[in-house]
Amino acid sequence: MGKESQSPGKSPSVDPVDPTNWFTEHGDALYNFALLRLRRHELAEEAVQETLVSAIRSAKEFQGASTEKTWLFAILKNKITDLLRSDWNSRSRVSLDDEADPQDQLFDSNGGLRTELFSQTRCELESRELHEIVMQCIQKLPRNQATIFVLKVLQEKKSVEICQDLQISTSNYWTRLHRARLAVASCVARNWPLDN
Amino acid sequence: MNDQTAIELINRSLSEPLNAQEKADLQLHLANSPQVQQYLQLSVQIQQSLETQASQLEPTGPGLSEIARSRIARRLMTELSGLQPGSSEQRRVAEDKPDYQVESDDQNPSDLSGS
Repeated sequence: MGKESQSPGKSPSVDPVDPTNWFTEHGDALYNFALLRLRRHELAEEAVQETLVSAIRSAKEFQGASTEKTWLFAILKNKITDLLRSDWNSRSRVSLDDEADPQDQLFDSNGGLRTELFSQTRCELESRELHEIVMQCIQKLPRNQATIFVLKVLQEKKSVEICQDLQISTSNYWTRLHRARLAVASCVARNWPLDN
Repeated sequence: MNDQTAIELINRSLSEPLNAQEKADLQLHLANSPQVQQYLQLSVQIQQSLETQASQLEPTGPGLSEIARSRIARRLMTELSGLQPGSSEQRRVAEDKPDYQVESDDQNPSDLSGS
């Protein structure tokens, strides 16, 4: 095929729109990305499937301005937000008073820390080891707190968008995010090996 | 300020900047509370770990199970075959195309005046 027939800026050897290869090449990475945020296998699998179906349906719109992989992950990120939102709306609401509050165990009645949890000397961890502990701790969060935490920290959504998407007040959002951060930090501190 | 309020400020500072007064109050408390200092260090490490992961397109993980892989592959094949020219899906889409859309495509803009 002559050079003239190639699209400008596109690799001559790779067809940028080849849906049959997307799943083979990116399926596992898409799934791991989704599992990190959705925490449940069935939801992560659904996110991957819906992403690839959407990509196939809009393949003609892919201009090659970004890489195929970046494009697929952008679609996936939107699917994950949709799934988190619909999962939130499908659940019965747990009031803030009925939800686990890590502050009850950490602080005394004067607001002082009543634990030595944060003053112990810990050994050095590689970033991968720390990440594994952090993810295990996120898995343990109550679902309401986890949804807000994931949308903010991993999906990088703005607080205003999260409040709108989940139809919650600003104070409700901040309370749950604070509880989630506190619970994750306490959990990481408990699970981080001590320096003997 | 007590430890609880200081930790609330630390957590909030991970999402948005504190104002000057809040920063000053927190600094003062941190100077006198090694435990809260350690909480701050730990929280920053956790935040950095998560930010790295958030931008990572190759996160570590188990990958898809064989069962899920087969099920998704079947669904995608169905989707792809439905998009082949002459497939039932293509015919359905063509048949479902609203009449007004066909007319507006062919219509001369000058005809819209109704004259």
